[in-house]
Amino acid sequence: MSENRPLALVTGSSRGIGKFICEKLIVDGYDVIGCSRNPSELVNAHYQHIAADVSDQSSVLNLFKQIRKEHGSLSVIINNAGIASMNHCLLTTVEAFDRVLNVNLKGTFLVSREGAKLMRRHNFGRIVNLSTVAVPMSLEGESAYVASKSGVEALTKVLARELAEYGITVNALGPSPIETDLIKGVGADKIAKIVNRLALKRLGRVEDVYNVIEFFIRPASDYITGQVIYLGGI
Amino acid sequence: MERSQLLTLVLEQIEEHLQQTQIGNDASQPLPKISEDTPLYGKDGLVDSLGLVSIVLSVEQAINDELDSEIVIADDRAMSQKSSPFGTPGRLVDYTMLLINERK
Ligand SMILES: NC(=O)c1ccc[n+]([C@@H]2O[C@H](COP(=O)([O-])OP(=O)(O)OC[C@H]3O[C@@H](n4cnc5c(N)ncnc54)[C@H](OP(=O)(O)O)[C@@H]3O)[C@@H](O)[C@H]2O)c1
Repeated sequence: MSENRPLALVTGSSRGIGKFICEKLIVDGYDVIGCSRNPSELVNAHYQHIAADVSDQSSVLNLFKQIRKEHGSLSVIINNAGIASMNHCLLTTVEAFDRVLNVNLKGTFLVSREGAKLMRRHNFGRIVNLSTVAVPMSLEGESAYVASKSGVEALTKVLARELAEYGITVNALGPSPIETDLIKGVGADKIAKIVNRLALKRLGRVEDVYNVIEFFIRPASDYITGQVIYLGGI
Repeated sequence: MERSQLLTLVLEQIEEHLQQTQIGNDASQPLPKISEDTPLYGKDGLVDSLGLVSIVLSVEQAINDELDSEIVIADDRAMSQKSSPFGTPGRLVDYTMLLINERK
C-alpha cells in the first residue's frame, strides 16, 4: 500500500467477480482493500484483506474504523458481496429471505453509508453497486434475490441524489450469468434460457463487468450518476 | 472526554461548516456568535437539514478519530426523540455525551 495511489474498497473479494475486480483495480493503479467473511488468496503489495460481514453493522463499523485509521480516505467502493437463493416463492423460507436481503440490500446500504462519510472529506467518491439482469427479467424462481437487487437499484438512485453534493456518484451494473460459485447450483437449461433472452447470446465474463466498473469510476465520469447498466443487451 | 471538551469540538465543527458554506464569509460580516443555546436546526436555526447532516457527520468523525471509537450519532433514538437532540449545540453535546458514556 502506498500513499499516492487512490484507495478502493471491494466487498465480497474472496472469490468470483470480486476477486477479479481487485486484481484489475490494482493493475489500474489503485490500492485495494477487500473484504469478505473468509480470507482471500490474493497476495499483492497493493492489496489488504479485512474480514467483515457486510450484513452486520458492527462488523462494517469496525471495517471502516480500520480504513479511517490506516488510510484516512477512500475513493471507490464496489458493493459486490452478494448471495443468491434459488427457489420457488412457495418454497422460500423466511430465513433464506432474510439472509439474502441482509447481505445484498442491507450490506450495500451499510457499506455505502459508512464509505460516503469518508468520501465526503475529500469531496470525491465513486460507488458502484452490483445488481443483475434478473431484475429487468423478473426472473421466476429468484424472488428474494430479485427483490433484494431491485432494492439495490432503488438505493442506487436515491443515494445518487443524496450524495451528489459531496462529489460522490452512485451507479449500478447488472451482469448476465457469469460462471462463478454463485450460479453453480443453477441448471444448465435454466442458464441457457436466460442467455437466450439476451440480445447477445453468450455468458457474461468478469472482464465485461470490469469494463463497466472502469467506466463508472473514471474521474471523467463525474456527470454519470444514478444509472444502471445491464450486460448482454436486455 | 469531558463535556467542555466536547462542546469546544462541536462549536468548532459548526464554525468550520459555516465558514465553508460562505455564511458570514464576507469580511464585513463576521461569523454569527454561537453558543450552547444558539438555535442550530429548526425554527430560526443556523443551518438547513443538509447543513445539519454535515455537522453531525463531522462531529461523529472527529470524536471517532479522537477516541478511536465507532459511534453513530444519528441513531434510531436520536431520530425518534420528541425534542430533537440536534436543536442546539448544547443538546447535540448532551446526546453525544450519552453515546460516548454508553460505550464504556
Ligand atoms: N455470477 C453471476 O452470474 C452473477 C450475475 C449477476 C449478478 N451477480 C452479482 O455479482 C456479485 C458477485 O457474485 P459472484 O458471482 O462473484 O459470487 P460468489 O462467487 O458467490 O462470491 C460472492 C462473494 O461475496 C462474499 N460474501 C458473501 N456474503 C458476504 C457477507 N455477508 N459479507 C461479506 N462478504 C460476503 C463471498 O465471500 P465469503 O463467503 O467469504 O464471505 C464472496 O467473496 C453478487 O452481488 C451477485 O449478485 C453475479
